Amino acid sequence: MLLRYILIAFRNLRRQRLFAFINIAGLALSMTVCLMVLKSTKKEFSYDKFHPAASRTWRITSQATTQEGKHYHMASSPLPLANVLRQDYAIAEDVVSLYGVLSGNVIEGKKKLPVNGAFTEPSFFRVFGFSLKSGDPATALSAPNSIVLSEAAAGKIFGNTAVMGKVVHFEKMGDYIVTGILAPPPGLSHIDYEAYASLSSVPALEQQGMLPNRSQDWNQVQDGYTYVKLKPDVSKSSLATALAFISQRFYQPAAKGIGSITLEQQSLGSISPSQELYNDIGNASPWGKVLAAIAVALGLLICACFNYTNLSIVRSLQRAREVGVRKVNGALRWQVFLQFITESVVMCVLSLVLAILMLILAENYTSIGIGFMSGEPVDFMLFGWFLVFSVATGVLAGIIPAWALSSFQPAKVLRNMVDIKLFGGLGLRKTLIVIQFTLSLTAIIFFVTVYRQFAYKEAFNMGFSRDNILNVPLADGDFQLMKDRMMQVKGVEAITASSGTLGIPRHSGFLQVKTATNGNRMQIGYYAGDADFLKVMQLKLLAGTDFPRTMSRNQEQYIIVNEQMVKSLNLKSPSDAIGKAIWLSDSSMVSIIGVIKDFNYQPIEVPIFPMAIRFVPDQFRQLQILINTKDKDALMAGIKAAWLEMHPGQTFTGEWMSDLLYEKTSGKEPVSGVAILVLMITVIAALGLLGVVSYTTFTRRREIGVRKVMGAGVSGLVLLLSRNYLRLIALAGLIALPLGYLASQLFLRIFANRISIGFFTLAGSFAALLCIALLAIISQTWRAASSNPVDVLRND
Amino acid sequence: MIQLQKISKHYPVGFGKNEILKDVDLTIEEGEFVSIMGPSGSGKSTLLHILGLLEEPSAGQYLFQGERVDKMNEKKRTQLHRGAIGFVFQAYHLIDELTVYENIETPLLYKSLSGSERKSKVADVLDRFNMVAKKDLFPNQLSGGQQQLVGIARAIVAEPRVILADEPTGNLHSDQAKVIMELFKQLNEQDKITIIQVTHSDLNATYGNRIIQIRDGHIQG
Ligand SMILES: Nc1ncnc2c1ncn2[C@@H]1O[C@H](COP(=O)(O)OP(=O)(O)OP(=O)(O)O)[C@@H](O)[C@H]1O
Ligand SMILES: [Mg+2]
Repeated sequence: MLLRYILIAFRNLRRQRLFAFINIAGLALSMTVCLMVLKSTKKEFSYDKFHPAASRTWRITSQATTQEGKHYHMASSPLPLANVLRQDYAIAEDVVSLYGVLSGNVIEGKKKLPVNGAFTEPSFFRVFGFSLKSGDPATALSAPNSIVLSEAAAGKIFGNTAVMGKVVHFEKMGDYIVTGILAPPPGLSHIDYEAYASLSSVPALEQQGMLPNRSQDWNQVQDGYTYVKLKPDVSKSSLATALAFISQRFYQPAAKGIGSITLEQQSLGSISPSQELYNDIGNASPWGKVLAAIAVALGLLICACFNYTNLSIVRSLQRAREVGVRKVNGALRWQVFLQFITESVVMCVLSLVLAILMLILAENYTSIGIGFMSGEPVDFMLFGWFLVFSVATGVLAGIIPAWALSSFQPAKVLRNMVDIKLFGGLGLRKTLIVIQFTLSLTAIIFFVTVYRQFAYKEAFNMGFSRDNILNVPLADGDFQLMKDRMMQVKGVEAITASSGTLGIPRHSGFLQVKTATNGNRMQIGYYAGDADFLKVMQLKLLAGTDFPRTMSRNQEQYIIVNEQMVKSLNLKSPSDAIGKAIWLSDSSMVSIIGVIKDFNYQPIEVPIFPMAIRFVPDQFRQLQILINTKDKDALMAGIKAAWLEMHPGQTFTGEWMSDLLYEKTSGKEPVSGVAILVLMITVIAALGLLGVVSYTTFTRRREIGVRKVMGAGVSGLVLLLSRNYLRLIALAGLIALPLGYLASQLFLRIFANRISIGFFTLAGSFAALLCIALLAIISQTWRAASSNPVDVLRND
Repeated sequence: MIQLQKISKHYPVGFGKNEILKDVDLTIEEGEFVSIMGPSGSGKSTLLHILGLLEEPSAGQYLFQGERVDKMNEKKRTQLHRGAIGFVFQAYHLIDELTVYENIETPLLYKSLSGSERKSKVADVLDRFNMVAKKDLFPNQLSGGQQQLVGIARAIVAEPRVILADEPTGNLHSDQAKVIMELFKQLNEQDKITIIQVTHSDLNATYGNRIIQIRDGHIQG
């Protein structure tokens, strides 16, 4: 029986090519996106599955309230917690502390390599499912200054040589002996460091001042992560009780001026997708992103399903007789229902095949990430999910038409008295068309806004210079020596040393300042720069002077601030600020030497906050070289030669500041992603409309013929046939314009500097959609209206 | 076999109602070949639909094989459709997407028959109607007469007790009509199938052994 249904489904597809094409194209397009999302979602949910007792393992998180009454839920917890849990409570089989501060450069020969690691204890290998390729998990992390490297890190540092027993030399955190190499983990984990050193190394590092004193400090919650593997018979509530006791024991309840911490548990399985706790580790996507991707994909899919529903209902007149005949021959309603569901499932499985092809193409031959691309291989399980998913889609898409079709009364059908209005198809159909076009228009308006905002962002004058400036790293050595050497290269106009590039996210530093007089603390951003910083960046001094050429390198004396800073110091004019003393981080006092005009030192999403330029040679990371020559190749060669002369054996990496800014802050990715989605949803809606118009005009062909014989003109007929659809589009516009406006406003809220949406965006988007819809409608109605009436009328 | 007692049928029209059948009494015995005749719009098709359980009478009683139809549930009715009643239509009403073979097989699909049983039954019917060579063709590849033969084949394949035919030759040339009527006669005489046909043709009516005249919703003597 089922086979017969499938056979009929195929024959129907072949007979109804337009119907099949519209449905399969739309479904396949949206399914492609769905498959991408399915893949990436599966990945997001596959974290931390390989640990031996994942269901009994918990991470301890901290609900922290600061002195100012601000509240943070931190993924981290105080370092002494692990020992208390181990010693004072009998609930844990194992406890492990992970202290993620082992990051910095490793020096090996002449190479300097950044390594991101953590300190941890031997129980690490009992709580988590990581294993060692070489080395003994029981002892590898026992002795102070031992380290376990990931395979990748070992290869990066030591190349292909034997690694066990070698010494890893951290630039700022001492030496470690390699006691183990991690085997590649069997799955993804939120714990993903390159290196794990023994936690027993920490006390010595704290004594030597290489690490801050935190191992016994209950008030420091940064960077320490505590995991508990409960004994098999211990319940979650016992853990919660223990944590409540510990919180009471070590913290006062929060009150005015008193910060506090309450400890909580988080199951290992719920760490990824990330709940966006502060300080969280790992690179799982946040729940918001996972859900947004799912919503977008389902939205697209539902639009495609609407096409199926609509077209099937429009086409039901053609199928009505078949239903009647089947019922007269003894078919029950559910049998007819099942037949139509089978047809839609067949359609969806065909679309799935196409979607998988498109997925493979998209992943292998394009770089158009819609943000969901995961690069995961498709395994058998995933394929099963794809199949389940497409069958479910088939049922979803087919359920309404199948219900409507299977409800036909044979007596009515066989008397040719089926009226499409009989089962509410018309209202439903109109609704679905309106929904599709509403979504489509909303998406178009949103896209235009996103595009315009990013174009605006690119053209935005951030208030500093970015052209003809080459950034080169300042790896070692004295910045002044480097500057002097580079100045000799032909074509160099000026050079500044700086801590980072203006305008790049997270390049600015932050520090706490306090005025010497009233003691108000505040947080400001800063860049470290030398006496040429203002000149190279073309920042405008409003009052005071630049840094003097001769300044102490060890003792900060002067600071340059922006207008915002002057304002937050409650000073009237920039010149009032000159000479004012400021405490930096409670440790050193400097005086304001200059005030510069406000400029966007952070990306323009953020408003301009108080900031400062400081002269801190320790924090200089790069030289920014302003050039005055057209021959960039020769200049680059000169600079490279000079740089290599001072950094023998290292690789030179120079980058143009304007390129870097473009790469890091342009909206290429989001714009192209949104563009693809908009294109898809519009194509799907337009195809659906095309199909519906085509079928309904087909059913009205006799009416058209009669009207023509009576003398109706083509344009009049086109208008007659198109009018109803145009009304639907107008209705969709009415709903979508405010909706799109709201969505766009929501998006623009991200930006402190933003465009206004304006009449032309809305009108233009609507006009574009109207054109597309008109094309779909008129192409069909025109054809019907200009056909020869004799052909139609003779046929019956 | 079939007993109608005071059957009425009306459709709502605007605020009033349109009486199609009025107090129809009719008895048809097993093995009869009845022709229903009457002018257009007189209610012939309506009567046939009521006989075939496709429509329900507005009033009156209908007994099929001694059982009251209005007391039957949906399941029982479907069973009658599957087993006891076969339909033949003026417009053939074959399913375009199915081949001749599959069209004939349709009623069997809804009875729980095994594949081999279905095969042999369809093969028998094809054989009997000399259509073995055409079994893989689709309806639009057949002439009208051939299509109606398939329609009849489909009606009898499930071995019904009664065949209801609504102007089975209405769309056919008189030569083809003759073939169809001969076939009905044969089915009636050899297979003892009760046949009730609606027809406009006096010639066709002569094949049967009883004629019912219907006019303005009344059966005439
Ligand atoms: N669903 C309905 N609603 C209203 N009136 C109906 C309905 N079905 C049939 N009729 C009316 O009932 C009357 C009888 O129809 P019926 O089809 O039984 O006539 P007929 O005798 O078969 O005519 P013909 O010889 O033309 O086929 C007609 O006037 C028709 O308009
Ligand atoms: Mg009739």
